[in-house]
Parts: sequence; C-alpha cells; structure tokens
Amino acid sequence: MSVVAASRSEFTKQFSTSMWWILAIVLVAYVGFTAAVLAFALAASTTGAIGGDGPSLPADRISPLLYSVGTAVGYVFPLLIGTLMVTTEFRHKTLTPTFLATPRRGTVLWAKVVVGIVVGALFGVIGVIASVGPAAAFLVGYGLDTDFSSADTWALLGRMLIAYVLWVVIGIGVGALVRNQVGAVVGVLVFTQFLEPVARAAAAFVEQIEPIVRYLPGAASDALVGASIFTLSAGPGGGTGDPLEWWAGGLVLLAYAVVALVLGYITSWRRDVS
Amino acid sequence: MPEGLALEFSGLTKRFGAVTAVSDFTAHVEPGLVTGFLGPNGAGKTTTLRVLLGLVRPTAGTATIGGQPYAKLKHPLQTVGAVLEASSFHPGRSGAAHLKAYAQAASLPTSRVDEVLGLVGLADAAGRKVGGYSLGMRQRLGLAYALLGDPGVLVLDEPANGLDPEGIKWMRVLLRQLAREGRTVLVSSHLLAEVQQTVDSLLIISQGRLVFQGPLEDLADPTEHATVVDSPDRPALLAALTAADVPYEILRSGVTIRGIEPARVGAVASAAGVALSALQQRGPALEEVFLDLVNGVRVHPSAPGATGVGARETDAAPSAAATETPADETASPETTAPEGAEADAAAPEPVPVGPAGAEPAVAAPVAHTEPDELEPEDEAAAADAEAAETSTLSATFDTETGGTPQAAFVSSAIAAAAAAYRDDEPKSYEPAATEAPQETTDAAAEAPSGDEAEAATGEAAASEATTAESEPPQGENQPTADAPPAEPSGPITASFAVASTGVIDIVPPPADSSADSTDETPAEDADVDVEALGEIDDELSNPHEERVFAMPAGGTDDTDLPEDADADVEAIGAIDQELSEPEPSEDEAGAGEASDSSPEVEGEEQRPWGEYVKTEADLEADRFFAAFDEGSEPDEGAGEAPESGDSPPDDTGGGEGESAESQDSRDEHEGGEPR
Repeated sequence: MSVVAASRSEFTKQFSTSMWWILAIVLVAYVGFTAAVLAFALAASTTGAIGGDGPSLPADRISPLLYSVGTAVGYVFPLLIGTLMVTTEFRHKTLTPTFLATPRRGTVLWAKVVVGIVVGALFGVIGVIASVGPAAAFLVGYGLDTDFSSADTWALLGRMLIAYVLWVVIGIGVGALVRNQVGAVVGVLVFTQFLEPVARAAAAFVEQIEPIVRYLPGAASDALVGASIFTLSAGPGGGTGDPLEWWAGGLVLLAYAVVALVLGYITSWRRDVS
Repeated sequence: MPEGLALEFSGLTKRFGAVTAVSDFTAHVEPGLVTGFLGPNGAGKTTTLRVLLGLVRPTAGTATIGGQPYAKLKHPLQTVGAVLEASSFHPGRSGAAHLKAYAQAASLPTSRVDEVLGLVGLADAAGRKVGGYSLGMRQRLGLAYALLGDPGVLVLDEPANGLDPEGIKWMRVLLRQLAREGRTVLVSSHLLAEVQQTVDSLLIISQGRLVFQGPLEDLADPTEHATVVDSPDRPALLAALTAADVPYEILRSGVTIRGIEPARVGAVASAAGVALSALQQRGPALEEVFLDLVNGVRVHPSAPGATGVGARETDAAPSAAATETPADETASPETTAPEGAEADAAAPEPVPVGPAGAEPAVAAPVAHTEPDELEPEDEAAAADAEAAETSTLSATFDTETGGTPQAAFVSSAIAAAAAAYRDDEPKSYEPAATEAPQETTDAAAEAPSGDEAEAATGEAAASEATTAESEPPQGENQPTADAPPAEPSGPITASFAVASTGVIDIVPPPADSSADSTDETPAEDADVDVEALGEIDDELSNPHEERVFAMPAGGTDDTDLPEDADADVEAIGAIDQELSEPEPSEDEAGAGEASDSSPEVEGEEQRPWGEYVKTEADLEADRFFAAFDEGSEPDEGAGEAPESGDSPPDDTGGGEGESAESQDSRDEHEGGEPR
C-alpha cells in the first residue's frame, strides 16, 4: 500500500523485462558512436591534423562539448524509458492488477517516479560513460587535455545525471498523458529528433523566436548541463543570446516534468481501467 | 483463515457516454457460497465487476466489499482476489516475476509466489515468459494472482475461458473448496452450463439489469422434467406407451415423455415386455429459463427492478437500432429483445396459417404467470403479418419452456421463429451465403410460420396435461396442410434453423423451388441440439432446404424423426464439448471433425464445459476460409444436391466450407465480451 511497497513492485516490474537493457545497449551504441565521431573530428581539426579551414575550437571548450553528447544527443533514451514505464502498463493491461494491488493510484504514480529516478541515474551513468569514454580516448590520442582534473568537468557530469533523471520523470508524465504506447514513442521521437532540433536551428537565424526556443525542454536540458554540441552548431558566434543559467535550465526541465505528471494524473491516470 | 465478506451492489449505474452498461444494479453476494454471475456478452458483467474492484467509477450507486469500497480496503490483495481477463500480463515478464511484483506491492512475502504457482500447477513454468504461455496457463496465472493474498473474497470473470476440461474440473473443485472455507466466490460466465454444477446461487444480468437473484433451484420450474426412454425395438415400445396412454414425443435422442417419472415409464415397458436401451430423467431446461430471463420473456420476482413489459420496452430500442441493417445481423450478439425484429418491417406479408397456429403455441403454456401478461400483446401481434417478428421470440420460448420445455417439434418452431427474430438472437448465427440476409425477410418469415403453427400443434399433440386445449388439435391438420403452399407463395431465398443455444443458421436458397412437402425427407435438420451445428452446416450445402420446415404430413417413422429439440443442460454440455473438442484447429480446413458430433455425449458425468477460445491465428484462418465459403457456397450446394435426401440425421461429415462456417459461428458464439 505504501509508496515503498509500490516502489519495490515497480522496481521488480522495471527490471524483469528486457526493455531496460535493450535501451541501455542502444544508448551506449548511439551515444558512444556519436561521441567518438565528434571527438575525432573536433580533436583533429583543433590540433590541425586535418585541414584547418573549418572553425576550430579553443582546446579548453572541446572536452565539455564532447562529454555532454551523453545528454545533448542521448536524452531521448531516458525520455523513452520513462514513457515506456507507463505505456507498457496500458498496452499490456497490467494496470488492472497494478491498481488491484494498489488501489490508490497516486501511490502507483509516485512509485513510478521513485523508480524512474533510480532508472534515470542508472541510465545517466551509462550515458556518461558512453560519451566520456570514447571522447576522452580521442582527446588523449590527440594529446589534448581531458580535463578530468578540473572540478568543472565533474560538475558537468553530475549535472548530466540530473538531466537524465529529470528526463525519465518527464517521460513518465508523457506516458501517463498519452497512454498509447506507439503514439507516445512516435511523439517523443518526432519532437526530440525533429521538431526541437529544427526549432533550435531556426532560432540561430531568427532572433525573435530565440527567447521561446531556449525554454524548449531540449534547450533547457542543455542549459542545465552547461554545454551542448548544439551550441557549436548554432553558429560561429556560439549561438545568439546566452543560454539559461544551469539552475534555471534545471528548473525549467523540472517544471516540464511536474506539469506532465500532474496533467497525466488528472486527465488520464484516474480514468476507468478496462 | 481469511473471512469471507459480503459483496453489496446498491443502485449501481454506469454509463459510457450514451451507452448504459449497468443500470440500477442492486444485488447481494453472500460469503460461503459460489455465486454465478450470468449474462450474455455485453450484459454488463465485466463492468459491474470492475466497478466493484474500483477500476471503473460508477455513474451512480455503490459497490462495497464488507461494507467498504475497494479503494478503502487496507490490504486489497489480502481481502479480494480477482481474475478479470486472461491477458493482463507483460509477455516479456516471467510468471514468477509477474507475481513477485504484485506480492511486493501488497507487502506479501515473496515465498507466497512459489506457493500459489504450485497451487495452480504452474511451478514448472514459473520462470518462463508469459508470452510463451498458453491461454489456459494464463488463466492459471491470473488465478495465482488472485490467490496471492489468500483473500476471503474471490471475483473471477469468465475463469473457464481457455481451460481444458481437466482444468475446468479443477477450477470447479477449487472454487467449491474456497467457498466451503467460508469465502465469498463470485464467478461470471455467459454460459449457464459452464457454472451450473459449480454455483450455489445465481445473479443474472441482462442489458445491465438484474433479472434474477437467488439459488439455482429457484431458477427452474421443477415440473419441467422429462423422461427419455428408448428401446432397440422401438415400435414395440411406442405401442406399449400408446397402450398405456402415455404421451410421448420422438426425438433423436429417444422417446421423450414429459411429466411422467422414469419409474412409471419403465413399468409400462416392463409390463409390455419391451427391453429398454435407455431410461433416464432429464432436468429442466435451465438454459431456456436463463435465455428467457435474459431476453425479458420471463421475469423472475427476485429482480423487482425489471417488470416484464418494462424490460421488453426498454430492450426494444437498442436492439432495433442495432439490427437495422442486414449487415448487422451477423454481429448482433447482444441484441436479445424480441421487438428488435421491428427492424425487419420488410416482412409484413399476410401469413394465413401462422397466426392460427401460433396462438395456441402462445396461449397454451400458462405455467409462468408473468409471461401471461405479455401474451395478449403477442397474440394481437400475431394476428397481423408482423406476428412472426414481434411475437415469435416470446412465443417460441413460451412454447418451449411453458408446458413442454423440450418439445419434439420445437425445432421447427424455432426454425420458424428464426425468420422473425434472427436479428435478436442473443448469440449469433451465420449467414449461409452472402446474399441471404437481405432477401430472407419475406418468404422465409412467411413460410416457416406455417411450420411454427405445426410445431405448436405438434406440441399440443404431445398433450401435456396443462397445455392440452381444444384448439390445438383443430389447428393440427390445417397448418400441416397449409404449410407447403405457404412456402412457394413468395420468392423463397433462404431459410433458417435455430439452435437452442442461439446459433441460427441461414439456409441457402433451394436450387429448385419445389416445396418438398411430399418428400420423405426427414426434418432432422432443424435440430436445435448443439450437435446439430455440424449437421446444419451440412445442410447449408443442401439445395432442398425448405424441407427443413416442411414437416412431412405423414407419420413419424424413424426416418422422419425431428432432431431432438431438447435444449437441456446435457445438450449444452455436449455443445460445449464440441466447441472445445476440435483441437486448437490450426488446421481449420481439416476440421471436418469440428462438425462431428456424437449425439450420445449426454453422459451425466463428462460434461465438458470447456470452451475453446480462439487465438488470433485461428480467427485469421476462419476469415480466410469464410471468404472462400461466401464465394463458393452455391456451387457446392448444387454439387451435393443429389445426395441431400439421403443423409441420415447424424451424418455430420462436413466439408471444408461447412466446417469453416461452423467455426465462424463458433467464433461469434464465443466472441469476447466487448469492453
């Protein structure tokens, strides 16, 4: 009945199917590959190993950029797993036994959030390792500083973990809101992989929309982490207006999570289960 | 020992938009009993149970467990165990992990998981993913979930679905055991036969309303018993019975005698020196009573909310709407109201014989007081052409269940009625050919009505003491004489046969339109027995179909025997067996045995209740073969025409097309409850 009991139940559910490790493997492959390619390109161009035409970055900006690939590119994975935590229950109708065992539905949602935080941290660690590992290897290979001695680097990695956790919670809210698994997954992918990147790219050229775009969840996430490959692609100027402060970005992301959860709870979670 | 708690439904109403799923449902379920919760698909059973379990919020009213709503229970799983559907599992999770998750949620020791898995016989499969479980295993896993908390209340929604006969027997024993321990057991089903041996008490719901509440014994009139007797030397037996002035009817299962104890029948035979091959008593046709209650034809005082006329009136609207188009005919499992046939207004042809014959049928059975008030209405309706439609359902059921529930000729009566109320048939029937539904209205409704009259008179001839009136004998000759002319009078395109289980077969148009009335062909095909399903299917390919309704004017020698119209529980059991027998029919095409029927499957002990629930693949296959049937049916019929007259009643070797169709009908018969 308690949140603790429900959380243990959710924990068992989460790790008794293969979804989590399949997503983790894809996360490692995707983030790792992206980080490796970017690390090679940036390190090579910065050191002048390949033609020096392109904009080369100052060496001290490279490592945070590469390390943050774990969130800037990989944030879709915690979002997905959070969504799936809820939509699988709708899809396989396991919400019936779940609500029979824990009739107070709010408790179930809280338990999912608790487990989501744990899963987010776990995925965060995996994602950070997947991005930092290849990046650091290339930096070392090109004789650049990995910045592991800097406290800023570790703070950045810590903020990446926070971002992962928040993304899972947002996913739970989205899942509760959308219910339909396919719809939720497609929606998440379209928004994160298409809509928001386009909007952010457009914001680099159209100043008027920039104040809005910076509050989009992906941008807020990047602001929270403090570095993103997107700030590189945003233009030679390092992007128009300044991004949010990291804590402001974190609060915006948290607000998304809270709003999604509350809306999901009110509009969908309390509905009839049949 | 967990204590059983009483379940209380009070004025429960649930609307989904404009649809009222449950309407003012008030009932009480006692601990220490197995209570059956019966109703056709879509009657609101599942919704009621879900409201009870806090999964669905009622529009009005309350449902409590031991006085508390489910959400207020301190330890829900330790108080109530529920099995709601067989598919509430993540296919990628093992059975053990599934249970472990919920044991944790309910703060139960995880050792309990192994216990319940052992209890339901899934210990070996505990570590396997549920996706690889059979339907029966899933049902068991669902039951294991329900038993996790060793609850005092068990709520099971169609628990027998997917279980093999052995599993069903096991389930029965388990439920009885649990009830004996003082627990409350509420088990829903859409088949009375399925729970009849298990339950002590019944709730019957129809169209969201409670129509019966009380012990099983209250359901049926104890006078509705019949004795079945047979002899290798049947003429001698019949002679003896006639000599002893014992009225009898000859059914396929033997000679049926109503209202007379087996002992006396045996004595008669013995006195005449006739050796008997069978002598047994049949129970009352509970299934018929159940269907009557569900259809609103009969009203039981235990459900004060539903008055006869009121129920009928309320039923009329939805069913009429649902049966408006022929296309809906095949898919209207829930429309049970007689008046729904109004949708069929296309058939108001004058039926000269029908009313005359139908009236006795309606008027005769006065065993039930409540239906009486409906009869004037029915008779009046019968006077005009729509009689066959507006009244036949009740007329038929009255005929069947009133004085002579297992009338020999009910098969014909039902066949006739089918033309009228096929849309309202509670279960389903299958169109034999694609063109059938539309054109059947006029002629088919008309022609059989003569038979209905005949059927009525046939019954009357059976002269049950209570039903014998002077009128029926009058009508007796007239209908038989008139029935043949009635048929050719319209463009006969199709006919029907109805099984008492509610499966209606539409018979394809005859290749030649001869009335066949002089034909010697037996009327076996109007069989109401479930076994008949296969046979009816056979008949679908038979061009001389209308003889089904044209009772031979001549006597009843063996070849002319009508099929046993008996709808009693054994027959239902047999049906169920047939339905479940054909192994998971991955090979639908080869499922000729699907229609194989053993008429003898009426053994008391082995009534298989199992009901094979189709998988997606099966349904796929059904559709596939059904597509062939629609295209090829007429040809097949023509091809098989020459043999048609010869097939004995029990010859059920169905061809591919027919068996596929019978599969279809089974489909609909067992179709899941819409949620």
